[in-house]
Amino acid sequence: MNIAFITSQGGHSGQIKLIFTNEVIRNNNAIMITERPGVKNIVKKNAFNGKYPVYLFEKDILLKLNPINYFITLQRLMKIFRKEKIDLIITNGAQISIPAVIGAKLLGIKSLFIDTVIRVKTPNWSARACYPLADIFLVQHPGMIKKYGKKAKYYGGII
Amino acid sequence: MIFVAVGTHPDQFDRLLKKIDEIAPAVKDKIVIQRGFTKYYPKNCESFEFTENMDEYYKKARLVIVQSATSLLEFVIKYNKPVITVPRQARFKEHINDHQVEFGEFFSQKTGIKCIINVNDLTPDLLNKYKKKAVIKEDNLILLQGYFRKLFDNLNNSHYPSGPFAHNRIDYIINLINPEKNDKVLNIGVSNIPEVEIKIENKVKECWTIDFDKKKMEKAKIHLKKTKLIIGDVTKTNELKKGYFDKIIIIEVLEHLKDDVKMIKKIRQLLKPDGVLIVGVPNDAFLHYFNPVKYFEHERHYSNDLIKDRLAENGFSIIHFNLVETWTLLSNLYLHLLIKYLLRINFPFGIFKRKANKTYNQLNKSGMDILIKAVKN
Repeated sequence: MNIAFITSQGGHSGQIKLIFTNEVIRNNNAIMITERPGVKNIVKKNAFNGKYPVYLFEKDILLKLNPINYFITLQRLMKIFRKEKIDLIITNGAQISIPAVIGAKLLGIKSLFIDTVIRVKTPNWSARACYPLADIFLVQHPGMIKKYGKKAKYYGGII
Repeated sequence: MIFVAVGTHPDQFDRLLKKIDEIAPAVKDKIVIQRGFTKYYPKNCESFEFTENMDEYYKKARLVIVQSATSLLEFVIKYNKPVITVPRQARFKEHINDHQVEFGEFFSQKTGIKCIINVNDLTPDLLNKYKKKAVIKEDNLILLQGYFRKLFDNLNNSHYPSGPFAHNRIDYIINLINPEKNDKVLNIGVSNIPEVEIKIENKVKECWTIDFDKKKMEKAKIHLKKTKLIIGDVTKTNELKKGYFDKIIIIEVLEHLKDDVKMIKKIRQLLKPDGVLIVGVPNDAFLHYFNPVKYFEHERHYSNDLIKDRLAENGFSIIHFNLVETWTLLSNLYLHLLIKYLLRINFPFGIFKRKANKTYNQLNKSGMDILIKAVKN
């Protein structure tokens, strides 16, 4: 099975790296789609878990609340999904998850959203936007289920 | 060494850096700061903007001061060392909202490490004496990883191994049957031209066909030589022995029956252990709402999950599952019905045949017809 991880840089991709070690992914193929960090010398190895390919997007496209930028991102994401024959997408928030979930819905790909660990009491903006579209919606604190709705489920978290 | 890291967030965090710089001369240990995008340049201690290997500094450090974000968790999970957390706050324009304060307080409550909201609490005395380590149980992480492993396994198993494909429906069904010399095959429900039986009757030991419609049987008889024809109801007849057949074909029959569970149970009795069942039923697709046959002749249409469940409940495990045919099925059907009621002739139609036959060469995610190969448990 081909899996795509889609997050923005920093904490979000850090959480994905904490959860999805090589033991969890095992025989499946995975790719990571994230944004190019502002400083070049941080990330030199373009590999997720030391073995899977990484696609990098420009930061400007993702951070502005501009519908045209969303549309461009959606198009580029769908191109990658088709090229890599993705079966499941996993996303952990910030703005890129919204075009990702929409693109998955259009292509008939299964989508999974994990809420971030950092939010303990207040719901997340991008999570709320993805809630109606994602096939599986997970939270990382049992108390957060009420904040989103019936679809949200708790199967454990990073802490 | 004391290591201070503010991460890669684009907003400034000079509130912390100024304070650290101020107290640095009074602290015994050497202080190293990772500044990130913060423009303030500390004079009393070492500093740099970014680095590829934070781990080196984490390993060397006696005490680490970080923002309350994922980097805190990463550090705590990897290293068992004293840590202090300082959340970024929205009112100082250090972040877009106050979620770091929320998380910092939650984390300090859970593990007992110090969360500093007012920077003036950072004193040289505190840094010199501080030894509180954060210990977290990894039970929840293991739970979550276990969930994902199970999810991946389930999704991998739902993609049934690609089966024998063909260029048209009849060949596809025959490839699914895979006829062998010693096989005893039973076909339930006969069509006007029994194409499946014509092709397999010479390849197998015994070929049986059963239907309760006498007229259809007489029409089919013309084409068949070796096949044994039985007129009667499968669930009531005595002519079929239990545990006799290797392979049973039931295509476009189940949807006509009022009690399909009874039929599946009966089929299970007729099959040998490890016997093969080939099922064809119409899907519950949207286009079928324009299909007149659905309302006049069919009792029900199956969704993908319903037919899988029916078979699994009655002791079959599915080997091959595919959705075939597209809108071409409906166009052919409409032409067929038009000719049938205007001219009173049965005439099979196959325009757009190429388009339809494409679906028999691959595994599809949607379609009008379901074809299944299942094995008796």
